[in-house]
Amino acid sequence: MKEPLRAKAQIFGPGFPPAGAQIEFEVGDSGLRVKTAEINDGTPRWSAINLAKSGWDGLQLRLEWKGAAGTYSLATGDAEAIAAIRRFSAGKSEVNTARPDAATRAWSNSLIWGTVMFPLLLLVVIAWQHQRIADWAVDLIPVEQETKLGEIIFSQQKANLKLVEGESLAMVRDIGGKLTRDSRYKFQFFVTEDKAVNAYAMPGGYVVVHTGLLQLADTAEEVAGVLAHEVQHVEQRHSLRGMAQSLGLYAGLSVLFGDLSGLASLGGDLLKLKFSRDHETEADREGLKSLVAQKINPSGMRDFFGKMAAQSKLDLGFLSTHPASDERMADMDRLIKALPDEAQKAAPLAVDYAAVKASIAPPK
Amino acid sequence: MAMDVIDYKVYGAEMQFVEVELDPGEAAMGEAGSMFYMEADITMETIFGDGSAKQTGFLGKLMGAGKRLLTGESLFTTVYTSTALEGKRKVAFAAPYPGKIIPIDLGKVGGTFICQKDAFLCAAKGVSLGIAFQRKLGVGFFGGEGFIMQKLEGDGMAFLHAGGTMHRRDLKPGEVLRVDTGCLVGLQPSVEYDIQMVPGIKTALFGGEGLFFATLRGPGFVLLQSLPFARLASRIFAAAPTSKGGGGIGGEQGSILGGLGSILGGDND
Repeated sequence: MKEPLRAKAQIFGPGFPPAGAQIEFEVGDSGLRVKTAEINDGTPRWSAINLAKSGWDGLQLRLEWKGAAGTYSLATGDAEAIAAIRRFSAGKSEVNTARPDAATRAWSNSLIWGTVMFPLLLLVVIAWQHQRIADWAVDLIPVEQETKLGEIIFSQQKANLKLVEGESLAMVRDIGGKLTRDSRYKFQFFVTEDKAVNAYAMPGGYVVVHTGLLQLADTAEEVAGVLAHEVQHVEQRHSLRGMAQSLGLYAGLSVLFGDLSGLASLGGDLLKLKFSRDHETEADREGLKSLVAQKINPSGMRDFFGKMAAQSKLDLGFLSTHPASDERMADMDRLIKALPDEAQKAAPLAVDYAAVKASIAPPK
Repeated sequence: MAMDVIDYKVYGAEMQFVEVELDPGEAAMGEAGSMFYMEADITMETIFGDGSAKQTGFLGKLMGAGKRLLTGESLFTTVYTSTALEGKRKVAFAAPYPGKIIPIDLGKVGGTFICQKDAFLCAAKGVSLGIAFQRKLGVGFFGGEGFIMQKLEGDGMAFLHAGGTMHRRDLKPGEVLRVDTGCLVGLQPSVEYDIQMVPGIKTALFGGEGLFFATLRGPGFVLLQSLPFARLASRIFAAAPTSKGGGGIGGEQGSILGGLGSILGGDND
């Protein structure tokens, strides 16, 4: 036998003011007990009471029953009273959850999802997984397309380059040819007269080496190290990935917010994209592997980057895009030491590097 | 709870103000900036929060003030207390835009009333102003009142204000009223509040009522406004001449003080 509970609630119905009146009622095993001057038959049984979740925010419990004078309604938001009513009425009366009709629900839900949640989710997914999305998109681009893009970029750049021929170009092409023997790309190597220590790769296999870099290097192996690194940027499609990542996120955002004006003006900046740190590390590792595969001494790569790190106070173009951090050097060193001995004892390249250097020496 | 019992009179037709009579020691509180005039022997004190007895301690007050910020109101309320030794003193509060003022005796409606965010004008001291969250997503998004509404609690008088004509509808148990979204000013918590799709795709798209109605089901009473201020504002904005500056805020065109004048003049809301 459960103890009846007394609680207060607002009652509405015949004889009560339109805004209802505060009354005290009793919740018991058989039903409700509401006795006031206005209502004589206020003892409905649970079977006669219609319970519903109600109220302006759906957190109230409404009890409705038919009396002699009309329909009475009692609403309470008091948690204790609601719990008691549920306890006593369990099994004797069902609680109807007030809900809008199905069509309204479907509409409002789809509107909420369509206009608010979906773009929000999309944004979150893009922001969170943009790297993966970009990689996926990049994998869909065929090599021919990439080569075409490289062609366009290179033909634009060509006007600004002072291409050099002769021994230096022959050497670069020779080493580059070795490194890209099995590639799906048709690599093209160029040497350009520029004092800045730099080398860069364009999508599709265009690799450009500055004479400044050749001047700084002391052996052909060092140049090979740089070339192996740049070749891997192409092989791993880093420039495409970089574009897709920064552009993709930007494009996604501008489509979401309906502002496409910025996207169109961005074309010219494609070249200025820098590779991410991850891409640099990847190019280092894969570059080392390709050097070993071609039996070129890999320490050249480390030596050259070490040289650059030592000169880091100078304004070097290559350095600004290829941060020679201690971490990276240590990484490279570790990788090289892990290689089998024969890789490190590879025969030197058959290049007279001094002659190459002399051929590109600026006229005095 | 001991609330101050205040007598009042509402003046005006379309641009109303309410005059509240305070016995010695009685107090009323008003939304900051709503005071219109007051007689001698009334002291004004601006307090942090809503001045209800529930808020004790600094944190309680901070919470109360934070809630007020959420509902888009000033962090402060001003309490007007009569310090006269005998006789009545009057203080008046004016509505900020065309509309009607409706008094609600919280003691007679069950002690709690839910209203639109900025509907509160003034009340007897002791009425607590809280926020009430709409938990139904559909109603929050499309009901026209948003997710945050204001909850008035206590047993004293509170005065609400809204645009156009205010209409009170008493809903019997089970009685349903469908209302254009945005026209609901307030409702008793016992009223079921939901949204309903406007029937018929043509009506929904071209009927000009939007896609949803608010549906209200009794028991309880609801307050409706015939002209939500946002609607009036958009009409005025649409009709406003667009050439040259000057319009917009203040409207004192050609004032020698220009922008400064409206700062000095106060009442920038």
